[in-house]
Amino acid sequence: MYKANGLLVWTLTRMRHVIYKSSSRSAQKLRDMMYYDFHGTAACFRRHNGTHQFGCSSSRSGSVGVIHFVENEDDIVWLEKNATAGPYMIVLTFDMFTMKTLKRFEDVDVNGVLLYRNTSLDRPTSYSPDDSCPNRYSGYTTCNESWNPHGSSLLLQDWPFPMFYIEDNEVLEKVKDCYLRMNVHDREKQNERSLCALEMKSFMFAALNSEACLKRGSSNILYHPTLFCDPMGDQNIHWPVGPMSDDVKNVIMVIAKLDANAMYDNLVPGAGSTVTAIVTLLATATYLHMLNATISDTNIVFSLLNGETMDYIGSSRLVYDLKEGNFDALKGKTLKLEQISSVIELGQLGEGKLYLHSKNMKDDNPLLTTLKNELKADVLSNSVPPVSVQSFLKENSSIETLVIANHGKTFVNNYYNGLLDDAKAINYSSNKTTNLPSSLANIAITLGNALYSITNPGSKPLTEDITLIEKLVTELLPCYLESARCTLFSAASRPGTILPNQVLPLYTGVVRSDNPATILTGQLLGLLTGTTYPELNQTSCLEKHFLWMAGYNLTGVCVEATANFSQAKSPAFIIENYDMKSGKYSTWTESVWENLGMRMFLKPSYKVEVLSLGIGIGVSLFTALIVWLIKANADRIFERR
Amino acid sequence: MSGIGFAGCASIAFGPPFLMFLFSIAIEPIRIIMLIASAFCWLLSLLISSLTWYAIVPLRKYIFIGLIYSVIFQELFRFLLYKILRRAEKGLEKVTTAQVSDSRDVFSYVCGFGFGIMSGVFSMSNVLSESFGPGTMGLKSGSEYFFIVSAGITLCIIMLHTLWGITFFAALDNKNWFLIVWVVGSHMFVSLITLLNAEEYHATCIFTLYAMLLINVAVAFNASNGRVPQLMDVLMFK
Repeated sequence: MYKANGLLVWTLTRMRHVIYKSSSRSAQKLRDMMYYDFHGTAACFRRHNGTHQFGCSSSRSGSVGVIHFVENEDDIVWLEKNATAGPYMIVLTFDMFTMKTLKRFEDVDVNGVLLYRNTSLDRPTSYSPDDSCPNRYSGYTTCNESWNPHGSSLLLQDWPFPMFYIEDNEVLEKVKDCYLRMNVHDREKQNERSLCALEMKSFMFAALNSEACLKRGSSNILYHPTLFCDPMGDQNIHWPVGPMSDDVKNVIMVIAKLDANAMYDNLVPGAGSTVTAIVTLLATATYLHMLNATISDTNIVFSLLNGETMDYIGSSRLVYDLKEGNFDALKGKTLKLEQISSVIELGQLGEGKLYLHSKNMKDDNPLLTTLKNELKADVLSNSVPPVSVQSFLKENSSIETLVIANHGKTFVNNYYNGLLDDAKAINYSSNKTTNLPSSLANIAITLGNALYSITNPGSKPLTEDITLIEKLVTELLPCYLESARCTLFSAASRPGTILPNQVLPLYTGVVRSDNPATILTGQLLGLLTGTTYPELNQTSCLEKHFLWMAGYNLTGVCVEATANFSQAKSPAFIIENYDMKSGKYSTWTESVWENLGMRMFLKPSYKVEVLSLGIGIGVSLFTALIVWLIKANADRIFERR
Repeated sequence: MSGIGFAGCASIAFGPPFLMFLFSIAIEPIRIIMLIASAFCWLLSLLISSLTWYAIVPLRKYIFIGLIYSVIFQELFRFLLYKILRRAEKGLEKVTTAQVSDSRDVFSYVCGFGFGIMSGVFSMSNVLSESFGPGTMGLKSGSEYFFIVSAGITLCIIMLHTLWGITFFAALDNKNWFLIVWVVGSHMFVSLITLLNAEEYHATCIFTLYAMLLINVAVAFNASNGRVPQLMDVLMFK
């Protein structure tokens, strides 16, 4: 019966556009003729901390505006002085995408900003939307230094309009065509005709600050657990070189951050700011695993920390857990904060000169001197860049910290936490030979050797594994910089997993959902540093609670991994009645949204609309008069039959 | 478009019919019943013609074939409605205070109007929903006057149906075969003309349709024994 009905409805609707073709095209077809939907756009979204909101949101039904290209100063002046057909949607070139320009749009009738990048042109020399001192308010001291000279703080603004990004030249051509055809000519009389317009939909459910939106979300949990925002965070990854036994007195932590940040959804490459460090850390860990270091009283723990760009979520949670004695991600004994003697962080790395930022380390510290000599690095004592070690120093200001980075007092990365911080920015491509893999491998091996000589004093490590590490780095880099569908990630996944053929965004995201880059990195570390049991099949492997992975030949291999995850959720969301405004821990939340999308259409001129209403009223009144006249005089006009 | 655009389109297409309904139909219950019956008849005709169109597979791809079916079935159902109405006259007499046999002309008007309203609703509904905006026609093809033209055409079709109803019933009463052919023929002609609108001959289409409307006003007026001098007097407020 239902089926018959369906057919009936179907035929009826199909007939609708058969009868009176004039006005009865099917609704879908009509809409297709009116709207051009964009694909492959990225949207700016909203985030909160304990006191403020950041980012962008459209209006609930979508923000609409007339397209206006801004390529130079004149275009902005025209907008400020002569524009008549507002609100406008600004289509902006990358070199105009600055704080100063965007601030000017706040004062005029602008409903949205579409940033575009013509990929065939040169990229801007610098673009970093982060602060000049990243994580300014969550360091162990007040930040007075300008670490990130190109930092524009665009990320730390609450924009009154939505923002989107495209780099598809074909789409851009369509927008430009329409703009040139409809909007440009006779600009002073724009308000008299229909104009090419854009609609941006990126409505954000959350508002005000983290506290308000979390409270609002949980208030009616009994009926409908409506969420307005989610705490940000993900998973930290840890691997101890040796088991945490009672003999272990000292622990050296080797850390790196696992996340990057950027303004637009899904475009968070973090090549120069994060990937090089992740790769070097993985290589160092693998190298130490290969050297088979024996651990007696000093252990080494490798940690990849997540959410570090959002006020050190991962490291502050790690330190909090260590302090509370809750850190049990390592097999064996619980690790305590007091046990940690020093923290070595891999900061932004790359080819070229290296710097060692040390704090609380004596000049004759053997590790420091070895690294200084072997890496030919400059030592900056009493220097702490805005990286994860800040969280350790915040809790214990006398802890020894060392940050290995490619920068001195200012970043050399011109695209720090921006969407342009990709493979091209660090001049990397798997097709051409660069010094990047060998530079990173050199750091990994030098650091590995130095750590080995601390745990195994007196004995020399084998040196023949150097080429293996360089090969590993060469294989690791494309996984993060070119496509996740690579040998190593495939090997570290379950057999048959189809990985996305794209660069994985390194954005932390919300605690509720794990970032694929985090999971893959964790599993990869497990594979690289674990023990494989070729004799076990899938069933017996899972019975022993080991990991079943595809392995290098993709047929499946059983791995006993000692690497483990720990939650990277800020203590602010764990401590009961935490004062969100205290600023002690990261309070970042991300707003929930329903959809992100953009479409182009012709916005009708006011004149035509008013004309149609005028005709309608006129015709109706005229008809009323005629009907009334004829009805009143029907007996006179019509002859009785 | 926007709220204004929507209000404009809706008032062009359905403003006059609504006022006609208010002044000439809503005043008597039996007329409302007739209106609903005739609107239902039109829906039935649509159903049958769509089933036919669906059943005859080889002709399905031609849009004008479907159009021809629909005109034929609409006129067939108009004829059926006439037959039923004339048979039901005695019964209707019992349930109403109005003099049914005296208001035959009014009933033919109501029946035509019911056909018109239903076809108008069907052809205009999705256009109206799109007229809310935010966009208008003309990005890829078409012109920005599409909505006004569509509304104008819908209004014209509603009016034409009303007039055809009057002419058709009167012609059947008087066995005037020429007028019956005229109604079916002009219905067919008008429907085919609307195909031009899709080809963006908006002006041609709308002028032809309104010319047909004027001719049909004259025909219907004549068929229902209207007297021109008296009409002129009334229109001159004499």
